[in-house]
Amino acid sequence: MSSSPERLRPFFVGYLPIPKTLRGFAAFLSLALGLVGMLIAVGLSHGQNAPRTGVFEFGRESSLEGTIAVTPAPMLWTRSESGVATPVLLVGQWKFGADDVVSAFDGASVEIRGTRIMDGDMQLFEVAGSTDAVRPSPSPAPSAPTPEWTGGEHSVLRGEIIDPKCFFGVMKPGYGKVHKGCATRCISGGIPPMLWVRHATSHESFYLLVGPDDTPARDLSLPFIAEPVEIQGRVQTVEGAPFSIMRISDNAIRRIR
Amino acid sequence: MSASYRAVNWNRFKRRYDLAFLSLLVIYAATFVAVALLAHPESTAETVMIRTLGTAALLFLHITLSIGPLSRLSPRFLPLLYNRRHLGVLTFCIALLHAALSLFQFHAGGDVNPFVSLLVSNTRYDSLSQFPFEILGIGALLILALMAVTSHDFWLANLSPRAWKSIHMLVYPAYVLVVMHVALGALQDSRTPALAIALSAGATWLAVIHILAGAKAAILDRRRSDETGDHLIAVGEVSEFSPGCARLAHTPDGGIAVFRYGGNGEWLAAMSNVCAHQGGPLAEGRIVDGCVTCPWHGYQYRPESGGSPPPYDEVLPTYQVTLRGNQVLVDPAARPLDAPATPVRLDVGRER
Ligand code: HEM
Ligand code: FES
Repeated sequence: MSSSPERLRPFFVGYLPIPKTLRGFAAFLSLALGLVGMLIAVGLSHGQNAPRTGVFEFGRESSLEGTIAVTPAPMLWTRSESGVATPVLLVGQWKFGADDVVSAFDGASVEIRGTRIMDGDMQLFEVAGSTDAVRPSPSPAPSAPTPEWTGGEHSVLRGEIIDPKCFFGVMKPGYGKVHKGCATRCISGGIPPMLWVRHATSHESFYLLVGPDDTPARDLSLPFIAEPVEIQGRVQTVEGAPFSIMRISDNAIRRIR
Repeated sequence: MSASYRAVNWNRFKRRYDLAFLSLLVIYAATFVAVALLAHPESTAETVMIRTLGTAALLFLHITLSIGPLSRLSPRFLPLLYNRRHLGVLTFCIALLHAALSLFQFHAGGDVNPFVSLLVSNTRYDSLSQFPFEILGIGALLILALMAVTSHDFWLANLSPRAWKSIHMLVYPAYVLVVMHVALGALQDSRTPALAIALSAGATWLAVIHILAGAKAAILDRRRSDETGDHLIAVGEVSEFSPGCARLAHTPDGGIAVFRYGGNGEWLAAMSNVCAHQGGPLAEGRIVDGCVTCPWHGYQYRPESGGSPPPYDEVLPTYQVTLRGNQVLVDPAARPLDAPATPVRLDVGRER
């Protein structure tokens, strides 16, 4: 009988015991796959973009005192001991703005319960879901008038429209293409749109986009979220505030690239 | 096999196979999460999970797609093929989790239904860099779902083999959709080369093994069996047949497997090379317990009748073998199923 190499080759049938010679190969293959898998996991996980360092104190409720301003967007003006006023942007639960919860308190001195969102100087506050989350302030100090946004220089700025709730700590990444769907939902749900401008250095600045009716420029922004855009408008500031506002009108936003 | 359908016909090997790939998933996920925690401690859990599952699904899709060509290149990979369908179902499950988490993270809790949001929150179909990459993932997921659902032998028997095969060839469009999903999605935001390297290395690997396997098949094909003047196909000399093994006669409809079998290798018989299960190449199979046994999933056929041993009821067409001196010839006209060909008895003593 001729001896053919065919005969020497082990033959595998799934429901029979696996031939000895193949057992070694199977073990080698499992080991190799495990190692390659780990290598790929290390490379891809390490190779993720470094996330921003903002913090969302998820699950930890705090309370804040200050004066509510409903326009141009819901915010709480808090005062440091030295008397400097800082705006804290107020946002709602999930992907909603805080308008409904704070609209009855315009100009009032209040205490609000909710969850802090912080990134550097920027402060936001997610108002708690309960009906009594906003209450008149227990300390009866007369509320100082909220600062005025001043200036109005015409500017042309390039950047990306973000939803500040996700961007400053709730989601990482809270910007860019993969986050576009979420930012669209958030801004559509009433979270005020912001323009994020990156300067040549690692420096960056933020502009709350405000429409002609002195409310967040929701509808003007929606078609352009998370894309590179150029926006024309009038910029107003408050000394010491971590963001400015940019007043825009129809056709103020255009895509670049 | 079609005697009865159970959800899964488990055996020891299948359990080990599934255990091995589940372990791979666990090792992969644990490594991804651990490195994320160490290298990027500010990450959020949801994003890490979405990325772990998305990239794991892509890795498993690569493995699934590698098994076919690797098995053609070396039969040592055939054990991977035996239970490939479970790997496919696992891949689908991982991708489904990735998609479900993404849907929740990016679209739940807003002012419209999350499924609607998924479809309408980006409509830049006019732009490549801004293209809604999610829709590409949805397309891939639907294909993987269709394949997972139809992977069971019930569907194999109730769809025509050709329809079944076409459905499962959709894995290639699914792969392309996933690559586009990543290239137009996560890759657009990535500031490191890791994802780009992984994607292109994966595509290169798949291209190389598919080309090599194709080249091997083409070379084997060129060694076509000779047609003799009288339409019979010459398959080789008797001495070229190893007992328990087959030689292949090439025909346009998938070939004829000519087996040598019997206690002393004293019989020759021929049947279609195309397994009734998923078209596995029977000529690469063996005689096990007196039956032709498919190298892919072990379906069995009696060489003298082409029929599967009871309780199974598959039947393959047989072909008439004749001897002309030491030459083994086979008639390429299939015999009717109810009148199988007659096996040829060899004078084993003379050959020795
Ligand atoms: C309904 C279907 C799907 C949706 C909604 C979806 C959604 C997403 C999203 C939002 C991202 C970006 C995540 C991020 O980088 O933060 C992503 C990335 C990714 N997806 Fe999907 N996906 C779907 C289907 C699939 C399928 C079927 C696969 C693979 C088989 C897949 C594989 C990936 C991979 C590999 C990434 C890149 C990982 C990364 O982000 O680093 N996806 N997907
Ligand atoms: S193809 Fe599955 S057993 Fe033959």
